[in-house]
Amino acid sequence: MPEDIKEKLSELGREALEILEKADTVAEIENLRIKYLGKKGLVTGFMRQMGSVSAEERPAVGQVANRVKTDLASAIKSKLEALSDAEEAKTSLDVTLPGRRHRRGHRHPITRTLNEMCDIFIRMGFDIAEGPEVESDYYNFEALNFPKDHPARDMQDTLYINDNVVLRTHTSPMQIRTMEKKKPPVWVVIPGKTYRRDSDVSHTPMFHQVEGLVVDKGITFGDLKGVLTVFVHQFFSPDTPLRFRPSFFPFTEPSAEVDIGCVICHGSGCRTCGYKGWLEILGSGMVDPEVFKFVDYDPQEVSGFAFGVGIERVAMLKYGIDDLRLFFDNDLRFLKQF
Amino acid sequence: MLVTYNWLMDYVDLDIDPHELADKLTMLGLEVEEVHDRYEYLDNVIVGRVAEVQNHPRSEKLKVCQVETGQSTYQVVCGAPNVAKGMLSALALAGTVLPGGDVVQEVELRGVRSSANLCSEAELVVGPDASGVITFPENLNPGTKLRDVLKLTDWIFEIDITPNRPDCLCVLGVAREIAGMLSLPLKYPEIKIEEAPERAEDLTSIQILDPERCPRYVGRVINGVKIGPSPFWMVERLAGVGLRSINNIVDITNFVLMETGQPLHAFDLDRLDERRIVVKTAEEGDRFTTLDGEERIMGPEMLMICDGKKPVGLAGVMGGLNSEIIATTSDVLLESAYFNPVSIRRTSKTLDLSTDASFRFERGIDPQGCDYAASRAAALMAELAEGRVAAGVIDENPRPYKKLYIPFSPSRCNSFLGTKVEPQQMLDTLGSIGLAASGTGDNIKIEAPSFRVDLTREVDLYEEVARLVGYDEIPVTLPSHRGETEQPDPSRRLRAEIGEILEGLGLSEAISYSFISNDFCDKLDLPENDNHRKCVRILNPLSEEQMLLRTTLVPGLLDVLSRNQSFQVMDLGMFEIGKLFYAVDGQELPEEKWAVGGLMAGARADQSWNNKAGLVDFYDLKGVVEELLENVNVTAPVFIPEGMPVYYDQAVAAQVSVEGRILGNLGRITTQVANAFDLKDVPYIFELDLDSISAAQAGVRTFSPLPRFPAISRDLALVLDRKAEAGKILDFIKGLEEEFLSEVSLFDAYEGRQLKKNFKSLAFRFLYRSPERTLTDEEVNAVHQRVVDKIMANFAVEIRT
Repeated sequence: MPEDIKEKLSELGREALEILEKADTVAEIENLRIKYLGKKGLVTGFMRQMGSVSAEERPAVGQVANRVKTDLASAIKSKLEALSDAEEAKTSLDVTLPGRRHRRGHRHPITRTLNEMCDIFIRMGFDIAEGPEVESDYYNFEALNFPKDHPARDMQDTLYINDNVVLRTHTSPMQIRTMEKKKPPVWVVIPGKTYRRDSDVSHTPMFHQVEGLVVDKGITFGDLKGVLTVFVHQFFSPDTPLRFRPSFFPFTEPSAEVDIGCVICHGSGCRTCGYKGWLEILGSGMVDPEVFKFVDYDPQEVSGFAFGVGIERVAMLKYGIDDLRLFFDNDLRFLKQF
Repeated sequence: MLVTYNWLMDYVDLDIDPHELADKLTMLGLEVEEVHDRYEYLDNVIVGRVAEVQNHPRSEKLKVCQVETGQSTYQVVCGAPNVAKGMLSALALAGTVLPGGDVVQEVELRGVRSSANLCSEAELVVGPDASGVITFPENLNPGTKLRDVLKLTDWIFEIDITPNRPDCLCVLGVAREIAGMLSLPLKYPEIKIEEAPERAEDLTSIQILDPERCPRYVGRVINGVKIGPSPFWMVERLAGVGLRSINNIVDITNFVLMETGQPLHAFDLDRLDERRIVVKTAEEGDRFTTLDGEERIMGPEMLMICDGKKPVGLAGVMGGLNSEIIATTSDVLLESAYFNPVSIRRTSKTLDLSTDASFRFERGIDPQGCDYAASRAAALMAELAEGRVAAGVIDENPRPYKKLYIPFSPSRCNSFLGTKVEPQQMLDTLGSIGLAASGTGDNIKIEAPSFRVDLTREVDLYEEVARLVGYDEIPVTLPSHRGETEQPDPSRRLRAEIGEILEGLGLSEAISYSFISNDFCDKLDLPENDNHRKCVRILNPLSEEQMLLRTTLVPGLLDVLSRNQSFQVMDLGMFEIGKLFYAVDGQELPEEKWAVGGLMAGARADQSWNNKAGLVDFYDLKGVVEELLENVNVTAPVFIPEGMPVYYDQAVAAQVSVEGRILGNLGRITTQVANAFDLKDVPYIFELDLDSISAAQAGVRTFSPLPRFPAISRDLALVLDRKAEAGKILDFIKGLEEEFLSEVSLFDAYEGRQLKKNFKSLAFRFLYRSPERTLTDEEVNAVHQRVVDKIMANFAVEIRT
């Protein structure tokens, strides 16, 4: 009989703890306390039955009863504390307050664009080369088939250091320097600063270009189209339309300008594209045999193509920047957007 | 270059939408930049009824008219003699841009408001009559647009002709391209001349003394011309390409220039001394007044057209005032010459005088076209100015044109382009623009037309095939790569790493112009002999602000701060990686050196509710430099307060070096320099030379095994003179050869009331560790005591208790 009571008492305790475990509001726990430990509670009820237990056995049963009672009471207490802690924590944490931020720097959009472009060409197997920004007339013009006193020189307003030294007007001089140094195959892109004597809404006297040059046996105009198509599709998007249009550069023959479908209006015509639906982004062409003569390449043996992309231009299109001069104002409010 | 649709129609029968034509020309290499609706300006010109005409209160010639358009009534002050009550005329509303460029405006004319203009045919370039305002028949409704009445349509094409295509700098040239492209016949204007009995060669003579500069000179004589206005068709043609009518003779030379691309000049033969022409170079210093009234000083290589005694024209550039056509001119000597392109270009550049003629000569005109253009103009002078064309052409041709045949191989062309065009199709295509072929298989010869100065080599013909077949038709392929690539350039890689590190440290990247103001050295207080003054100077800078190539990044960074401060951006960290340029004696090109510079100003972090950041100080700056160097594997940089440039506050700056190699410097700039750059705040800057960093880099990083046993730490606080350098003690400790001492760090520095005046306290933490076992307290105590003793023995310090 006493064993039975002890068993039932323990059972009652386990049952109560199980319910407590699942309870998650103060009200539920209070109900539970009343149910088991209240004056008319189940555990209290058992205690009242002590009278039916023999005197010898009473202490042992009493011990069990007390243990159940105190275990449950302390479990209730700690559960209530835990609940109130959680409650408190909930009220003092404001998840909408800004987090603890670290100041981060921002790369210039020109650098970002330049790196992105170079990465595309590196993936295609191009090497990277760089060259002097102050160049001799020979590399900047002469060897690129811009003879002195040729109207083609009017295509680029030049900043001179003296009669024979200029601030390079394009990254193309490095075509010559590269070919002077190595024999084909040449796969090279040349990023860098370039300069022209021009300053207005659409020109800054310093700007950036990425030049490309591929020379090997059997390079075709189709290959030029292929490489530039890959570039445009990777840099803008795979569905960007592009077209190649005859043009003229003294160091390429045939020459082509490359237009892409306007990234703003998608060809329907807008202010950015002058209502033409197309945007000119780069100049290119097959390397002119005259240029090969300057570097001792045999035009019967090898052929090649070259191209030059203006970084500011494509960065403006990519990021929707509407004022060229922002690039060199270095306004932190501008830089922070990148 | 402007051409109009209607003018093109004179030579080729067009039946194509002008915008479609523009697209096709663009894809052919003649880039059409704009297509203008030529008569758009007539949109604001409407039929108006003159309801009332009153005399102007203050003018006898002017009338004040009320003109009704059905919608409103306009008051117009008008000087035309034929204006009359009840007439229908052309009313140009305010804002109309007339073909000559004049804009109709609301104005007061002698105190009377005039809000629109009544116009003549000539003013609107819709007809020849300039005598009075247009009179329309009675059956028109006031308010009708003039375009609807006159049914005028034309389009102006603005074409960007590349320097290699001078043959397209004329309407016939563009028509020739269109005809080839659309497979239409090209109609050259027919020339019919009834020559007079007198012979040209009896009336004048032409002598070329410099055949290199003037390989050909064609002259025709037209006697008895009557100078007067040109017929309307001529005025209309010229207006379409932006030229104003002057008189019939001058208009004819301009018209034929625009039509054929051959510049012409008409001399008043009576005003030529000895009635003859001599072509020779000028004497240096000769003075000559050109048509525009400017007196110009001749250089020794300039080609002049002279008469028997004096210069009368600047060959290929501009005629002279002394022989121009005037109202009384009767006999005309017409010049149609070919001048050496380089000679004309030099003259034009030297005198800074570019004309329609020089622009074409310097690009190369058709050497075979002189005769045709001269005859075309002579015929027009007979027709439009009642001139008598003297018999015969004087054609001085000391360097006759030689035909050029270019070898051409269809199969080479295909393999160059990556195409599979049928050989016959290639030849047909070339034939369509006048490139005649002879021969068979891959042994074809193509005769280059004399007007195509750009065709000299086989590759030039590949281009013709490519553009005529269409670049779109060339298949897109990818070249095969042989797999060889080069080692990445370490300098470029270092710059990329440095950029990433600085970005991570909270600095943003600036890109400044490489050229800077010519007074930057003074603004930086640099002494006369300072190395930074060895600047490369630009010969033709855009401004004084952009005159010198920079020898330091500092002024650029200070300008960046100044600009940002003007935008109320006060807290910032910036860096720039760029080249510096130093002039080197005896070297053609300057030395170009990569550098990295940084600037910090204002608060060290963005202010936030949980981050009350203080102001940037020297240690923030130094931390950035240390972090930067450590991350690019430059170990043990030494900072000493010596050898800093003068623009640093010498008390708050240092030079950084590694093993005696100076990398650069860092510190706070002086207030004086800050003021010179209009700064509101004195910033901290650093500048490091990238080659030196590169040279100081330790080799490839090698792995050190991680410790397997725990370290035991001991702290030591020392009191020492406040001017004593912590770095010396740290270096001393690091140099100690104690076997278990593995690390030492400085975890506290204190100056203040708890210490004696002029003393500071430095607290070091030592870590002791053995790679083989866990050390006991006793072992550590023993080592630590030795370390402490050595410090005490070598420095004037006390242990802080």
